[in-house]
Amino acid sequence: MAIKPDIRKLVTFKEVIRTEGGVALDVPLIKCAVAAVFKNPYAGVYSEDLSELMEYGTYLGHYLTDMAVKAMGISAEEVHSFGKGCAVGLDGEYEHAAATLHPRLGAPMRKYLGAGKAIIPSVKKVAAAGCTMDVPLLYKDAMLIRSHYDAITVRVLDAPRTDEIMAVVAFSSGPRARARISSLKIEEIKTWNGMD
Amino acid sequence: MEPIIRKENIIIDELRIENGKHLAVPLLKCAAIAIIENPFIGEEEQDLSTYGVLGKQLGRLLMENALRALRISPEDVQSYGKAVVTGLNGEMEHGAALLHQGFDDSIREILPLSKSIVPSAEKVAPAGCTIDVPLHHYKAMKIRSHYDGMEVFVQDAPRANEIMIVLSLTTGGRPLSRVGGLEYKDAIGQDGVN
Repeated sequence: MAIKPDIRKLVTFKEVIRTEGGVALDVPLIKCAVAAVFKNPYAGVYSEDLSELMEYGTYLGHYLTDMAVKAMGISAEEVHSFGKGCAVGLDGEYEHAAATLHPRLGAPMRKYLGAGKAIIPSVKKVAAAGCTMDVPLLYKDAMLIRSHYDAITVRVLDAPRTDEIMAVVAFSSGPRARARISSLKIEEIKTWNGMD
Repeated sequence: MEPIIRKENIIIDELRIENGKHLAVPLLKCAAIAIIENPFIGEEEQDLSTYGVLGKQLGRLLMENALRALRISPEDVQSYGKAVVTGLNGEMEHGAALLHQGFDDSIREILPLSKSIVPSAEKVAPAGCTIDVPLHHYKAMKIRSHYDGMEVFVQDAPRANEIMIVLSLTTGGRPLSRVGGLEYKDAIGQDGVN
């Protein structure tokens, strides 16, 4: 059982896009991000060992994905793209974001979706509360699906406080609204190596 | 007459800890947002008094979106508030025409015991602006524990020809509220004030 962060707050951002460029979409595009805000156990102290944050990642990867997919109102199989991000408050280090995101957080996201050969694109920063974060998105099984290069912007006014960390996962239900630059198509994925 | 909706947004804020103290019940705040084409741009019509039907449709849509997103029934709502941001090609009065005519009728159909005014904020602003939605208790304005607000923003809205309309609902007052005044248990809830 993974060590859980004591979450101060959870913020869900969802958007349902119906038109783009004045043209209606056949199927509305759903994008969602969920942010969790919690105490940084290493704020203000240098620690060689960052395992507690890695443990948090295991918990958050599943918990936040479950929240986001439920908020989207679609099944896990219907999720197309994923991404993640982390903002560390000013008493913490950039490496704390890496410890939260990289060793452990991704695996439960992939497991939940029942897929995920591609890397989960990510962004991280050390920042003051109220920073914006543009969470990148990629198609879950092949990074070269250009129609799905996308992002969702989030911002939580009072987070991360200086001794906090804000971890974010993000998903979308399809390609960019009215995507129309040349792109490998999902049905053309061949190698299943995460790239193409 | 129907609003042309580009997108609908939901922001849910679930607060579990305030100043290090765990709340007995997490506080939920939700903002339901619709981004629509400004129907008044280019209209010769100077009389905006007849657009209640649009406001009513938007009020219903946002109430339903907020309740569904919060996964609560109307009985679980405690505070409400609303706001409108008109894009830069429009005027302040365009947003007001949608927010103040018919909009509240839909809220009160779903929250029949709501008596207090629905507190509001209006502005004309560029895309990505923040708007602070004022909140107070739906039964009585003077319940001091529920004077609150929720800041929202949508990165790409409102565009110059758009209007962004916001409805916020909460499941409680401020976390750790302790500044006295009328309390919920003492509120009469008949005149919207006390």
